[in-house]
Amino acid sequence: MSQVPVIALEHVSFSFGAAPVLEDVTLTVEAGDFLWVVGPNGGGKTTLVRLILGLLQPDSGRIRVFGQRPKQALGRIGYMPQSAEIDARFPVSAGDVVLMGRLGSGRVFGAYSRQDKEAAAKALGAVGLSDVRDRHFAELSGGQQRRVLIARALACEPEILILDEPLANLDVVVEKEIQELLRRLRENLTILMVSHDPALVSQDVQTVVCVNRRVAIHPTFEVEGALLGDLYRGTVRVVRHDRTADGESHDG
Amino acid sequence: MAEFFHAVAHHAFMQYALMTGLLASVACGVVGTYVVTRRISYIAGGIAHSVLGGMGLAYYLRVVHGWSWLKPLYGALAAAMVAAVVIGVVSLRAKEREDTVIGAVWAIGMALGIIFIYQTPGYTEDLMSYLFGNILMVTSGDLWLIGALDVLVLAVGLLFYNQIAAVCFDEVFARTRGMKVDFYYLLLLCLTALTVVILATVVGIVLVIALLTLPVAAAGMVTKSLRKNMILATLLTAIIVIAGLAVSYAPDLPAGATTIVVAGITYLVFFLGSRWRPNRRR
Repeated sequence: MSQVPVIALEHVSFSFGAAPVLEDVTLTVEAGDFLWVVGPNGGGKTTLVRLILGLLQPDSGRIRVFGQRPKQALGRIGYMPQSAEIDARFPVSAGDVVLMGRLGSGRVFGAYSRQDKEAAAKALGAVGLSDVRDRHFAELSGGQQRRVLIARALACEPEILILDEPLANLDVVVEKEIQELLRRLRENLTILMVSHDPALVSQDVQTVVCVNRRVAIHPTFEVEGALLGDLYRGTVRVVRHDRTADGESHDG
Repeated sequence: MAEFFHAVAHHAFMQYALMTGLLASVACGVVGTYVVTRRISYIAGGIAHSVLGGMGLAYYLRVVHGWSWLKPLYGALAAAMVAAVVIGVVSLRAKEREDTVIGAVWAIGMALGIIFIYQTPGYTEDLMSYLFGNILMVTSGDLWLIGALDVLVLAVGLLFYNQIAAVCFDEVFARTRGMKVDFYYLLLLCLTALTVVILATVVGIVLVIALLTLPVAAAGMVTKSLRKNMILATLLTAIIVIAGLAVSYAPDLPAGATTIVVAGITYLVFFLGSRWRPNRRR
């Protein structure tokens, strides 16, 4: 039996009006991968994510998630949007945010079932926030809010986790916490994570995808010498910036 | 104040007015909370003002063509629903033109209403009562209709509570769950339209927007969940409407306008209260 890739993009192009955002993107994600999608602001990272989620349709090319059209595979994807898109003052408790991950196309109206509540409680536990369930979302720290949004994605019981800028604007300690959380989660999940900061990739990342209209894929490898490791107090991986297939280099 | 209580005890019109206010406060608390958290009060304003077109047309047909069954309230309902769907479809299809369309629906609806009313022989005072409310003129027939609308708004608003809340909180995420976001958005606008019609009987179409948002915003300063926000906003609206009636009755002030001033004061009190509370977390 041949293994169907988790995500497969073949020669995908997308433009907003006349402005091309992504050109001829080919990308394959296998089960268990940890992808770090980097690139400058406006380079098309979020567009790439939204194509995979079926929120946008490509102008050309083919996108398959578990071999299906993106919209048909939505039930198997857990998504965490950029926190800038969330109204943090919205009157809602942390637990209720996580419960929202249980809603879907199947149910048009009505209350949450006991099964929903159990799944939400489990997801909140997985991000270590069971004790803040009844707290107002707005009262949580920035890092806690991120973890609640990750828990909401986990409440979908996904096979892929797609995170848009989960580490943006966090201090180093909180950033480490989130990275630690993702390290635990990746044991059972395929993770695709977007970051605007290409400088340093955590040691868990296997593949770096550079997006700036075109897409270049780089494997990561561990730095042997002590130099970088000392500098960043831990094992780091560096990205080997190969030239793209058509020979032009790109800014990383 | 004694005169007010006397009137409540002895006059049917006052009892109807109170009932209307209490019914309206339930729809107001529930739907107003969605409107404020989803930040669509400008849309609610557009719908409210366009209602005059429907009221004016119904008034015209009633007087000039003898369609005596056609109450202005029916015209208001039709106009509100049309405005909600037009604004909703435009804002889903062409987001960048949303504010233009809201402004157009707002003003054209009013303009049509004024033309119809001026083409109708009779009292033009009716225009004033549409614009600024005539809660003391509510009949038992109106009350039944308002009650039915209230039940409808409440049933739909609570039945779809989890879904509307999720869509208001994070529309993009809701889409990734395969939820019919556009459907819930249009549903919310239709609920807003019905609520606007109910509230227009209390304070008139120009003042609706304040009653729909101020009690909710005041409640929002002390509540931390949508559910509690709805309950507190409902209570506040009920108190505000009763207070507006009570304060305006003896000195013969306009009830609608007085109610809005009371709403404004309530909001201010909550605002200052939440500011001055020591050691407030943010």
